[in-house]
Amino acid sequence: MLKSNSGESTNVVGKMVKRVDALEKVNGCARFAADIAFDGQIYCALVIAEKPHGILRSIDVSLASKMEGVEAVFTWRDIPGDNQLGEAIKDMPCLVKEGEKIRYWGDVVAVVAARDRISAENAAKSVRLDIEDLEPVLSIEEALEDRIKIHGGSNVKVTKLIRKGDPETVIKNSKEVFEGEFYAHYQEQAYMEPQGITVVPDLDYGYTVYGTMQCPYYVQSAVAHVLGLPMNRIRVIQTETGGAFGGKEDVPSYVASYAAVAAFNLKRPARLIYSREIDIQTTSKRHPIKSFYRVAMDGKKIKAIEVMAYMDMGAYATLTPIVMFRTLVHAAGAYDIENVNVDVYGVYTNKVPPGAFRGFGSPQVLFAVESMIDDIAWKLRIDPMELREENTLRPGSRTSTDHLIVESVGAPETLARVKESSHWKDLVKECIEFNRANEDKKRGAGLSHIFYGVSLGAGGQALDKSGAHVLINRDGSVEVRIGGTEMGQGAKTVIAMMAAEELGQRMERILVHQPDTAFVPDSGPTVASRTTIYSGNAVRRACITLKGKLISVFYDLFNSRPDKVKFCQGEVSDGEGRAISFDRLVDAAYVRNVKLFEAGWYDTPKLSFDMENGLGEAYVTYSYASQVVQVEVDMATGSTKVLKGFTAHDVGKAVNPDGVIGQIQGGFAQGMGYALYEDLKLRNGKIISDNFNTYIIPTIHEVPPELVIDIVEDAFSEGPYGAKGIGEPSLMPVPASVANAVSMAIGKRVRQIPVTPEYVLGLIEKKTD
Amino acid sequence: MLSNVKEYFRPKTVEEAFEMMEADREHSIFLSGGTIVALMGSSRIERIIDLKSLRLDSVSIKEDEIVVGATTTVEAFRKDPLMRKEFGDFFYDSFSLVGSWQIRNMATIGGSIAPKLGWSDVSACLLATGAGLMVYGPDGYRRIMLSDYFALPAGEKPLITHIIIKKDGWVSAFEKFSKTTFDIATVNVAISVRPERGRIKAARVVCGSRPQYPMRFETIENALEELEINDVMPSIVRSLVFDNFTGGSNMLASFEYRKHLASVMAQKAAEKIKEMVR
Repeated sequence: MLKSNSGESTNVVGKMVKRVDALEKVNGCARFAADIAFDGQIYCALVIAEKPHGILRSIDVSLASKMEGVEAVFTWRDIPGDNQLGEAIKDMPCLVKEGEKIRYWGDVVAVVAARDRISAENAAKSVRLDIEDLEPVLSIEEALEDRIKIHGGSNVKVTKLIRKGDPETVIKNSKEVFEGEFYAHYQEQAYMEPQGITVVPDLDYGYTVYGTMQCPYYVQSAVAHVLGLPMNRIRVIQTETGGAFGGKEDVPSYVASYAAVAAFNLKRPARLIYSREIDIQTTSKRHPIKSFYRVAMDGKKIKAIEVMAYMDMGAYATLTPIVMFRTLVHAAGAYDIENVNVDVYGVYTNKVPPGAFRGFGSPQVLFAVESMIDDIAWKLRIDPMELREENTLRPGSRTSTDHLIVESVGAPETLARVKESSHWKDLVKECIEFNRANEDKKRGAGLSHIFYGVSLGAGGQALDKSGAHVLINRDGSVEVRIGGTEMGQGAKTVIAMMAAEELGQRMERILVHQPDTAFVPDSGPTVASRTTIYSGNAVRRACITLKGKLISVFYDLFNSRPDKVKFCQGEVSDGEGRAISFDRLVDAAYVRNVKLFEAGWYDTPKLSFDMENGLGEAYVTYSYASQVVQVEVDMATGSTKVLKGFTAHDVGKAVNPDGVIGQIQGGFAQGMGYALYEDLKLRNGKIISDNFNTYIIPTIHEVPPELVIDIVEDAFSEGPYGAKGIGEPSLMPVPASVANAVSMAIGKRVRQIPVTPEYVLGLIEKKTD
Repeated sequence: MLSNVKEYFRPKTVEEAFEMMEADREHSIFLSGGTIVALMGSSRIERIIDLKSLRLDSVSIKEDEIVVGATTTVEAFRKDPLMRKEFGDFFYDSFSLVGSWQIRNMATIGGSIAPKLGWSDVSACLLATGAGLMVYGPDGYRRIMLSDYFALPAGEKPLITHIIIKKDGWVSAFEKFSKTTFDIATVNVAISVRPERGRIKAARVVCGSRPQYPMRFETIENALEELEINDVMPSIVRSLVFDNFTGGSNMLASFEYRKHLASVMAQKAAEKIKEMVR
């Protein structure tokens, strides 16, 4: 039996368990979007604009419509409901109308439905589009000029700010002021399974949507909107999902809308599976962000910080206004700073609209602020570890939004852990000695320290809730339904563990179903590292109620004191020799007509936040991480190899320690990809690195064999068993730690990611920093 | 994906395979290891002609030449005892950098040459060893140099049946730069020299992934003749490659960076040669 930091003793939580969905995923039985098939289904292909900017003059479907196997070609005229899409701002047409603007290469103009995929794709190529070319806006700088306006008004569509203290005056009066300019490029989510949806006319005279996704309720809402139907006619069932990383937050809503138009008009199941190329070319990415920093120091203390950040939100806002909130809150880093100004701007360009991606707008600015802190430390000859220790958030600190944080602040502890595990001072010394002895190769040690606001926070409070439904069958087997989705992150396993913990049933007797909007109410999106807290608490609440009922039955059977009854691994006992199996106890409950299904619900207390000044409780709690990496740079080629990694994460409580370690390993690899390898290439607004032979992601050989993971458990009182979140923070420290290590190795400041060999060589050859 | 395949052939002879191709060249494709064919996206291809049935997968020695069947896998080739005996670690080490283990167990030597891929490490190494090819075409069998194969007009596609490498005592080294372990080369360089009394009597210098297909740089080769194999030699090689490199830019690298990398890789290869000769 383990004792968690929250003081609760546990039987399952905190133990090493097998993933509940492992077997089917390994033996090939798991059914992903492309594995689902229905009688009479038609296959869809998209007609995309293939121009960055223009006016759609005409759509000629005559040739495509007559091609063999083609059932129909649908345009905006065939949309029964509203043609506008977009989670935050409905600025994106589902299908572009004649006379209206093409705003990026992947704008969808028509949907071809055919008897097979090849016929659909061939016909899609035969639809003729007459597009009057307009000069495109292809960079943040061009967008800010506002010479060419993409949506009519200014290209600067959304802004957010923080005004805390008086940084301007402090900086003006400070002797030690440091400045820096940084750029973080796109990153592609690179999930294994591409986007895919099938929309099926169903028995309830509506439509059931099957597909790979993170957010079934977004899909339900979007399809209802486009088809002009009430939401109770749209049911969404998530199929097994082969990775998402944010890329399946809002995008499946659009994919489903295209397929729904075909299903609605033909009254047949309509299936739309993206090729890898179309997926990379047209769907969301991590936002490129250009940022400018000014920091005032007083000795080792950060006195003031000013940040200006510009996000390239592509042709449409999609999730940018929500992503931007996280950029805003995290831009000043995990530090207690009295004076903070942050301004974040989202600008339209004629490029792919970025959206959600693990970290959601924060890794870009965390890279920047951590580079800034590192730069300051080396310039002031202060140990970068010491500078962070001096300024880090701790219990009683106030964040950049002036949020007083009093509990579950593991930031000092994560720093202490990596300092110890990496032998920080020795590691730095080792690098310096290595560099003295070698000319061809140079080594560097890099540190980063981050925080992460768990859940949607003040920017998305209306979505921060989750439901669950738990049913105990007569044989004692348990069915759990949640609104959160499993996309490879291990949600089902954590939920099953919590149900097993609370009910005392064995884990193998618990089934966590695929999410289905028909059974669980809108539970918000599966994003923001919130599933463990939100779905977990909802399940826990339902299970606690059910357990209370079973205790009553046990009392009825044995007359034991309720407070003495223990549930553990399928057995129920009172500690005085009276015991019964869980299954038999349930049977006894059924005989007594006890209701053995319950709904659970969890939402967080309202956060107090002043949006006008960006001040207040930004998030319910924060996760923290500190990381050290050692790199080796080949001075002749500029290529970088990560030699060692040491990473410590405050997760509140590791409900599933194996899962937490897996998340951290995966996040580290994906963060390395962002830091070093993943270099999205565009030509005139078209993404040309559109598969994994040109968009290079790291392999297992790039991950350092020595990756030391340390889990800090500083319990969060609202979290189940004290848990917070780990999905996103696992990636977030990596770009900065790698960039800082490279900077130390080459003696020049890295100011952009990815840190490609060509870029590093350019820095090496530069005369000055 | 080849979405329109209607026929799959397993010819018994080279002649039969070639005739099958000639019967409908536009809609046919040869299948060797499958790593290229598996990635093709085409509705044009209707006929697959599987060359594995020809059993051209042996490595043998004939007088002063090694004869390698075209469907020998890259992994089998690099590990073949004859190759190890005659070429030491050159192919063994160089081809360990080709793709992943899984890829090397599928990809064949002939299939690595035939598509004339710019980044082919196999082609670069074979060019440096002065390899020849036995090909079968409209006029029957003929032997051509690998470099001549690359110069054939686009429409002329004889079937490669064997790769022939001379046991001529040359010393070879290969270097490759790629962004990740399994990534294709941003640049690769293979150098072979014929050493004689501490000097380079003749040289073959090959750069691949320029991004065009690998080619020999005769100007550099000529400049290396009679050069002493000493500590300075690698840096001279580097300078010569830097000054004479031809190529271009693509999404992997700019021309300038590629030129720089080629010179660095060439220096490293020359260092290896220097150590081997000494």
